[in-house]
Amino acid sequence: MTLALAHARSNTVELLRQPGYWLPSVAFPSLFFVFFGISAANQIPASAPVGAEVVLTQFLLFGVLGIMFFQFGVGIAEERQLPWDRTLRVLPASATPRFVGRVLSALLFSVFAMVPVVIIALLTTNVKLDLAGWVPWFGAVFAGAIPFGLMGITLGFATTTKAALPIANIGFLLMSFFGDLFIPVEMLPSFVQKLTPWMPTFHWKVFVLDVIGAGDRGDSWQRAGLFLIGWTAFFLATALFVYRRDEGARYR
Amino acid sequence: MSEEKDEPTDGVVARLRGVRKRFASTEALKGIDLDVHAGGVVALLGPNGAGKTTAISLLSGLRTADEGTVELFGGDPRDPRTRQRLGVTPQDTGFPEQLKVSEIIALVRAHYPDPLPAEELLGRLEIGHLADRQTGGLSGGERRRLAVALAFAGNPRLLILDEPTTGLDVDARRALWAVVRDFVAIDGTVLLTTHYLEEAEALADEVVVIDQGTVIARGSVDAIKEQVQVTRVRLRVVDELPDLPGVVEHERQRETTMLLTTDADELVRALVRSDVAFSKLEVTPVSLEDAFLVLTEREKVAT
Repeated sequence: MTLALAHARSNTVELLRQPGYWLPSVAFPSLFFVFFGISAANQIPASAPVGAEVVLTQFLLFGVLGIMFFQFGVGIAEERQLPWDRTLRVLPASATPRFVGRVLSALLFSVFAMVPVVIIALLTTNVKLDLAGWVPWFGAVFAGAIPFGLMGITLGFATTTKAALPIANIGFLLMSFFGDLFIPVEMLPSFVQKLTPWMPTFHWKVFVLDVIGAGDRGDSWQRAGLFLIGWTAFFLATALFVYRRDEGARYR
Repeated sequence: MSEEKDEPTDGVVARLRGVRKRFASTEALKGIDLDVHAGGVVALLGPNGAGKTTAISLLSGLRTADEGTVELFGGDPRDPRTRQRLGVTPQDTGFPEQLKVSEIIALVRAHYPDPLPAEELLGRLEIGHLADRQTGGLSGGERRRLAVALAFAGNPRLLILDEPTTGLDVDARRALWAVVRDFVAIDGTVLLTTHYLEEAEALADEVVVIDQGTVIARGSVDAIKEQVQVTRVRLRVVDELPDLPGVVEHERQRETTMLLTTDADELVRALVRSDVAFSKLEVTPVSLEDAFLVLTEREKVAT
């Protein structure tokens, strides 16, 4: 664990020294919330048990997904081609502390991205949860983010730098739309609506919403949580597989 | 404390046995045997693409062999625990540019149960003054020194250096040699690859010559020279030279001709008998470079 923290620290310091890298990704969810979130949140009737949290959750997940999946995948694919990667690989440690360290540092940046969104929401919309309710809320957002970090790691190790970017783009968009994070899935073609219940992003959303009591009838955070655990196990396995198979950059 | 493997009884710290490794279209290693004994310096020598770096990547656990056995301290180098007393400096050096030298060292040290103090690593490679600099701003030589310093972080028993002095100026190269010698003096073992034959000559107790994925010669620097038994003959000659005995290499630059021969005495006699006008005759023992040239040349003829 000490080693994982050491990796998390290095990662975080490295990124913090590149504001051109983290500022846009941190500002992205806030901008989207200002453009689309505020009006959507204010359409929720004041009588609803939970208010702007529902819309806010979607934006939080969207932002965190971008950091955990997109930037991870692309970042790792880039890094893997650097000589530094080979230096780390011959050190006497398994892949796990490096993965954990990366996930931790990505979670930290996710917090950076979430804070302004929450502040904007508090100022402009009707947020009903009290502070005590925020703990399980944000806890659920973070816990549910883990499989997506592992998904990003898998992508990063399975592809080259140039391939990672388009694949991450498509994956990010599909998961956001199909998982009902972005626009109501009812507005999408019916085949998409059939896929939605199987999207990890959808399970994540259901999980978080049900934890804060904003789930639709029939939703249960336990069931969604089980799905997320399944996704975590699956993407942990794929991440370990592609890492072990990886022997650095391959050329033909 | 650390889970160290028992020292193999035969004192071999790294071993390749019948190792083959194929990449998509080329076979990089075609059945290599290599023993690195504790203490001393083994130099892997060979032209570009000979398989040196592949051999090293197998021993440091970066790649797996298609065939044969790879042992490090008697264990499998793919297992991280086996690598606790191994230090590696890869051929290319690069670091996260935003991190400072001291931060890089701290991260690498965190991987070992019993690391050397950071000050000692900085001191050994004389980079203490760089500790607070971001690595992106280092010169090539400074980066290389940092890369070598990192190889010492775990207080290694075996050091693998892949072309450690490529791109360094003469002073930096000699400084690095001194570091290697100091390490050997405290019972360290070094496996290095190099293009600089001078480097092998200066450091190595044993030379293993690799070409096209196979070992074509091994022994002490002197033994390698003996094995090829060639002598360099240089002379100035205007006319065409006749066929001379034992010539294995022939190079002509303007009026100076350089010959490598297996029998210098016979060659000189034949030269005198041939009545060709020549001047400035020099007969010198071969450098490792020439010996090496002959060895790889022979290998090509044989295949």
